[in-house]
Amino acid sequence: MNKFISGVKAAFRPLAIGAHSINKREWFRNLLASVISILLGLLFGFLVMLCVKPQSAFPGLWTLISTGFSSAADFNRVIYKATPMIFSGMAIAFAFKLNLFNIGVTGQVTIGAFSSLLCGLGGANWFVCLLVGMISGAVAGFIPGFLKAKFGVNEVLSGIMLNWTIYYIIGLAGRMWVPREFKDRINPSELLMMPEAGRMPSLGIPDMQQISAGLIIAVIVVIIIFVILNKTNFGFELQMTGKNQYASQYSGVNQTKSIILALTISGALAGICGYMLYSEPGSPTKFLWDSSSNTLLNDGFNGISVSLIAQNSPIGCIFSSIVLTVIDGAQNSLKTISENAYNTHYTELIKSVVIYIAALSSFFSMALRSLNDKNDLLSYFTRDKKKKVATKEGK
Amino acid sequence: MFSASDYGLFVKYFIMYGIGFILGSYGGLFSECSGIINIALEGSMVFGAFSGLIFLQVMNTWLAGTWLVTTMSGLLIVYLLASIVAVIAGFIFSYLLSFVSIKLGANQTVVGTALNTVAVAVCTIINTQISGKDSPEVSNNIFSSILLLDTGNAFIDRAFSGLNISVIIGLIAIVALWLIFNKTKFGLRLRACGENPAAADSVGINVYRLRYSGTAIGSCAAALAGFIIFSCLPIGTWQINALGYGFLVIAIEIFGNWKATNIIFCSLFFAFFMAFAPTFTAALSSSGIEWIDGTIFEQRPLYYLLPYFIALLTLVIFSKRSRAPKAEGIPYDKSSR
Repeated sequence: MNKFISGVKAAFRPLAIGAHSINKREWFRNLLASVISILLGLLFGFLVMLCVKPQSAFPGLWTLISTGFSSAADFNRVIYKATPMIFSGMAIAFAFKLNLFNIGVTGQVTIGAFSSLLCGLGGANWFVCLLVGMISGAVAGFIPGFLKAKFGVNEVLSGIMLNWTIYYIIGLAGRMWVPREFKDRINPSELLMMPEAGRMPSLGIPDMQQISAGLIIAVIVVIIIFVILNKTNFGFELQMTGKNQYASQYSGVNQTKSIILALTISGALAGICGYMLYSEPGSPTKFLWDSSSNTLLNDGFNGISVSLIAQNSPIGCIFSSIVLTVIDGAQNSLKTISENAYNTHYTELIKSVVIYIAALSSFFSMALRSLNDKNDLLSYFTRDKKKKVATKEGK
Repeated sequence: MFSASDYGLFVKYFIMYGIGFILGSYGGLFSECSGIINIALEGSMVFGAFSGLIFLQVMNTWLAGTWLVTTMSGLLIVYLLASIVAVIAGFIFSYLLSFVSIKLGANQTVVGTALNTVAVAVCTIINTQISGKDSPEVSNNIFSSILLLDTGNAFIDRAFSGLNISVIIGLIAIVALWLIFNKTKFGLRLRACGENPAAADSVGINVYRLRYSGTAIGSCAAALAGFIIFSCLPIGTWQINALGYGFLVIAIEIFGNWKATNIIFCSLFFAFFMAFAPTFTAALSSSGIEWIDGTIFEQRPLYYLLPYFIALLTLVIFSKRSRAPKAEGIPYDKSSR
């Protein structure tokens, strides 16, 4: 029996050593923490489904995971819905590197969408629209950055105020200055759909026509942001300021510049998200400019979730936005499979629980690190050998 | 252009928003001064308002026809109970934030943001289970016909009908919270925990317990604020969202520089503009002005824009002097003392 155990241990020894060395890496711990939070969120959703209607809980869980990949149309939906979310997630993640919580992303998304739509309706082509969206988002992001750096205004506050200011300014602009022919005939509180020239070009994958150049742009931008953060002086300064403000100030980092630039870039990313939300190939959504509903666009807040689940890593944003859209996309199938017992809000619940648990990631990460520090796992697999040697010598 | 009933409507909104905002920002004050950033005030408001309103709905079906739900004096008791339910809901909700941020050292901003969505999702699902509706809707006017005043005076009728006992409870709570914060040993210790928890700990104050209670009091206050605002708001059905008021009260609290007295004035300032927008535009539209082709001063969004824009300007002016609690947002670790 002892021999068997030691054999098993010997077989697993390289695995344990590998796990130990990979667990030293921060990105791995973050990844594991994200995966744990997603799994726990799904488990929680499963338990709730089990309480409400036990017989369809298992098919419900399967639907939740598999719907996004079950057909080409579904996968198409997942990808094109995820593309803008990658940008809003990155916007949040980028500002978080400097410990800035850019809650103004919502407003930046809204202004980006509005201005790029006006441009598109005016006849500009898609790349110009994208640039216009990006620039207007950057301007909207510059304001809280400038206020923070020059006047010490808390960026959460100015972000919230700007969200509503932008929201009502758009309402005002829609009433006062937007020409009649840009508005929908039947429902004048909506702008017209983005015209063909302003939409992102489709990549032309058969059955997945709505997957557009936006996805490629997203991947490129993720790489750019990753390089900026990890390979440039500016990124180093950002990360240093985020980790220890006083140390970076002492070593001569220009705080004003870092803050303003970080929030402006974050705003630019949010602006791109705004453009992409209303211009996918196929049938883009219409933009509601009329501010009578008194609710902000939800997409900015989605960005917060994306970034939180990705542990503020730009590359992680791609995957976390796909996970969120997969969960989101299962709404209707979940409803049919359970004969209306699980309504559309179950996916919301699961998403929010995933975010809640993702917020505990520092706790998971710490637990994983302490696993390494104590060497429990490693020593269990390696100590065995030494012990045997010792007993042999004893004999 | 303004009639007595317009002024009445303004007063109603002003009372409702004023008390709601003061209570809500006291919620933020108590938890931030104990050292926990509470972004989840929005969630607390939703949770409190939802449990209060759903309690009213359940009572309405249970006690149908009895004097409790058909007379104004009976409704005093029912609304009192509903306010208590809202406060209890806020108390329970606070532990979702305080436990993970005190015990597990989680990032408080992130947890708060997550809790805002958790609150909405949980409330919608409970709502579906209770009322069978698929959409996130709770009616908040089931008793509005009973709460209608008819004194013949248009101003008083408009100002006080639709308001319920929770407003008075809110007023009492504000006074009590002000006294607790400024005049008691507890308040002083709470602030010590937010400024320098290690020093507070060294003189025998239980930092963890004070942070739990600070967050709990804050969340209860915000929940009551949510119930006050959304049970009095004349909207008919409430869509289970706090319309950003939870963030607004955080703004008010920072605007008020973490001082209990300043916060009252800042809240009233905001409440004035929040009340001004709907009443003024209602008065304008009743006088028959066409919105779409009017001048810029006749556009509704302009007046809704005002409070936020003015707040932004005042923030620019006053932020240099603002001073947040020092240990805010940093989980206290006893071993790091």
